Amino acid sequence: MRNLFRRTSNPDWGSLSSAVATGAAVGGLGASTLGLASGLLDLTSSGADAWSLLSGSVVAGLASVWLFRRVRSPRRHETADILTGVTVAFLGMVLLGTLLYLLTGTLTDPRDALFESAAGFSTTALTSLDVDALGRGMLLFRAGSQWVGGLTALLLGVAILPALSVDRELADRHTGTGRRPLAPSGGRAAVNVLRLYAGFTLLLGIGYLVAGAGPLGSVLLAASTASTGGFVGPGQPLADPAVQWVAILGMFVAGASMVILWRIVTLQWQGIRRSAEFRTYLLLLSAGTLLLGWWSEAGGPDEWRETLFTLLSAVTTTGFPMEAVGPWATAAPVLLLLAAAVGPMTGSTGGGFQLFRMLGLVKLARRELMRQLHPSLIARIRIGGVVLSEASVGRIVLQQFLFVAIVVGTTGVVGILGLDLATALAAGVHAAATAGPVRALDGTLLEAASWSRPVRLALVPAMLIGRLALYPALVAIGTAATGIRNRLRLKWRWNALAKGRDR
Amino acid sequence: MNPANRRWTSTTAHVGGNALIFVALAMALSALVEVIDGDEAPAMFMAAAMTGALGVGMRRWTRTGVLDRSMVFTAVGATWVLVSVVGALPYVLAGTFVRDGAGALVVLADAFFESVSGYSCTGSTVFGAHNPIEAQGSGILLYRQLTQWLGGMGIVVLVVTVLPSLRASGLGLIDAEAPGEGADRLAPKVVDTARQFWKVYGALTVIGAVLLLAAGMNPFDAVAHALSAISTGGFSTRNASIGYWNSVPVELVVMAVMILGAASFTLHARSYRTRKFVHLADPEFRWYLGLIGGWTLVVAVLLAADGMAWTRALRMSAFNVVTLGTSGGFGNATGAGSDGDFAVWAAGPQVMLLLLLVVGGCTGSTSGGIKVIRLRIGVAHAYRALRAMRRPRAVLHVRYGDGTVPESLVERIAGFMVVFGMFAVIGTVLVAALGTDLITAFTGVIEALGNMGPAFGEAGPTASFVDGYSTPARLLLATLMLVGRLEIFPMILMLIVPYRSIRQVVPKGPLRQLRERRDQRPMGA
Repeated sequence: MRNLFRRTSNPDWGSLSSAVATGAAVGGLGASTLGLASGLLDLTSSGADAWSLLSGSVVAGLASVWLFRRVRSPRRHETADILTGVTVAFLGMVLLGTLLYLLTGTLTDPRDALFESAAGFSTTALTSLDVDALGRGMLLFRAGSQWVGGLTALLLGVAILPALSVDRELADRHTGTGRRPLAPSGGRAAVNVLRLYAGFTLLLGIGYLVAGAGPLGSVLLAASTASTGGFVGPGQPLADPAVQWVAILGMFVAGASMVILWRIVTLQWQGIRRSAEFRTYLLLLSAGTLLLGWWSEAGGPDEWRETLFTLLSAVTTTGFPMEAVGPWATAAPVLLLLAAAVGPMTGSTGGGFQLFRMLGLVKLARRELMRQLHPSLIARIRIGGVVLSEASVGRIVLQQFLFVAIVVGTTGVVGILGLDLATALAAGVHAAATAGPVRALDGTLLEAASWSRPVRLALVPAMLIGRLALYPALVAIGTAATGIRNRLRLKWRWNALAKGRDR
Repeated sequence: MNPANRRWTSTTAHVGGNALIFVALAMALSALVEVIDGDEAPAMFMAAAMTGALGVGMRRWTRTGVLDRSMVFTAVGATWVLVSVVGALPYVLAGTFVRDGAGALVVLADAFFESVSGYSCTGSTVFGAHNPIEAQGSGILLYRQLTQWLGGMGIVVLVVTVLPSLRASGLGLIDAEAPGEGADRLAPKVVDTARQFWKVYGALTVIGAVLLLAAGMNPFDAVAHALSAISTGGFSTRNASIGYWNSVPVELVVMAVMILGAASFTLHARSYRTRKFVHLADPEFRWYLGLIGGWTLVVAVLLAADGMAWTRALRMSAFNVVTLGTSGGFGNATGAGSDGDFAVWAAGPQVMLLLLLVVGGCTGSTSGGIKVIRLRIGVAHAYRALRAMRRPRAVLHVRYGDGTVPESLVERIAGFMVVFGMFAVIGTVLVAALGTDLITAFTGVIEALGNMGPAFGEAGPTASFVDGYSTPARLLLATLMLVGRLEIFPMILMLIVPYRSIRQVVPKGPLRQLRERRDQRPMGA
């Protein structure tokens, strides 16, 4: 087995090609491991999907290992190439997931399979499947794909991007005064994140089990809560108040930053108290719950619990479905849509624009206001004691721009494909924020299955780009476009040279 | 009060007083027209007299002082608020918005809304089927159009033309009021610059009126629509707006005048001075024309794909793209649900129009929105940030036209777009909280901030804002119109001077004392 993973003595690959190949191999390995686990679980029940899952996963896994062995990385990778590699890894998982959906016969149309797989790995709670008809294996694969998607977002946000000197302010890197930081280095950060994420999922699973969700239900719910994915298994496990309370706690923690979790684990309470983003998170949840409760005329404790559940489900972009509590005012769905767009803390598994960036924008607006009065003012933007570099401020503005552009673009396309403006806008926001089920203007939940296939397919790019924190995916697209352009230019030049020679 | 000449030193009051005199003149002119055709001439004369008296009093008893930056914002912001409030007097005294079931506060709110919508050149209206525009006298109608005309070029720019005492500070006032990134100086003297702007503005209005007359409107309608087309305001003398005429020549003239209104007046003035069409040399104008042209084609294709005949789709698309792309706000729908009623179009073309609500026209024009140049530089800035991810060590500049954009300007534009977005989001939640659905609230806020006119949903081009929004929501939208007209910052910063004055007067509270004590503590203590 060790021999299988040994690298061959190929000459060094280029930075981009090795990053892409490694990404494809890692993505393939991730999805095939998930497929194998799901196939094995399916053997314990009907086993209808087991052989398809196992055979598909084994072939994909072997191909990934073969590819992994072929790659010989250069000493240094360009930042853009690493981001391209991450994007390729993510796309690889999505495509392999699509293949497994088709192989098992869960879905017969490739477009449906791609949508389902993309919704899973991007942790978007949109589905066109009838979950009651699924076997254990496919249920685990669905929930597991969300868990892997959540892990990808965490690794990207806390380990990979800060290690590439991008968004360093979002990671806990400070080693002074004997502190144990979460991310002293990229590798250490990845290990810490994996431990925290796995431990949190395990605790959630135990919590759900104690609350009465059943063994399989607990595993499924734990995976989709920790990843803020929002897929729910058969039956209606979330109807039970005890399960709802566990989900509320789980969503709250999942929406908080890994840095906050790390500080809790390492007992660094002062850091939690100083976190402006965490304070904003608490404020947003409190104010949002009060407003939503007021607008939905919540009365008893059960209604307030459901209100808190609904708001957390939106803010953390988990997307657990919950019908409107009482008669909703017109502002209630607007509040939930806004909450999903803003999202939870950075460094969490949640999607959306995220609170740290929101705070950055508020501070930027304040600085511009001051600059109107004092045009020569030189002021740094500081959030909770952390000074943001101008490059980070630029990236925050870029992300706002990209987020709006993706929402508008997706809204336009799904609008052209047949959705009305309100539904199209809500679908666009939810896809870009990788958030939960879309609501109509009156607050009722809309089924993605009722939309046409082209509409669902049009949401896929927004979901994938949204899960990859927007710009890494666009950098990858830019790299690919440049590569293609350069190849074409070379070809044109070669043809022109050949023509000249012929003459 | 200055004991030497018994005049208060207050630039804000002085500028505001002068502005009110112009408003009073507009009211008096409209009252004269009301004498010929209408029943509310006495009320309008009374409004003109009250406004004039207030304006003359403020001018007589105040004088200009030192104009620092905070004072500039206060003067401009306060003048716009004052003009909008006093500008509602004719509607209030004439009882224009009195209707069954509407209390006094609602009537006052509607009058304020219509006044703000006029002076800010937004074009949203509370007239509608319940209170048809056609039932009003010609004087009231002319006054509505004049509010847009005065607001189009800027009431403060008008004041600067008659206030030589402001000297160079006048440019600061024009700068704070002008749409876009600062005002150009056309002549060495600021007063001459302001006068040149108004001369060009007047000349284009006359040309527009003549062309509309030739296209088939009667003289009153031609003048009225020329006033609101060149100011990209969008008020009409008919409930159905331009759709009343259902005429291609009328629509073409209105579109041409709106495009001229949404182009930079500096370009118009230079073209007039050099006798050459210099517009196409300006990159912003080229982008603007490209944007309008491209959008027209895309919307037309989408409408045709939805079943509309090609020629009709092109006509409907062109008019509505121009009217929203210039922040004009006219409508060519002949009735609710007709081809020109974009509130009933499919979501695709609606989203395209929604984008135009944000963009607006060129800098230094009469239009609203975030402006083409800002959008262009904002996109270039985003593209640069993406490229920087791929080339971390490269020194990349934002290029525009033949030159490089200074970083300070890029930051300012990014900051403006962020603030615009925040106002849009917070405004949407507040308007929705006041009883409006998502689409009507969101588009209402965007159109108010961009001074566009009609919204989508329940406040489309054939509907009244009374149908779409509650009274508090309309008041909020009116506030956003003023905020949008002055491009946000002046309306916020106008509160700085009063805030500082209050801080000097109000005794220090315990919190302030604690904070000051903390600030005075030596480092490390």
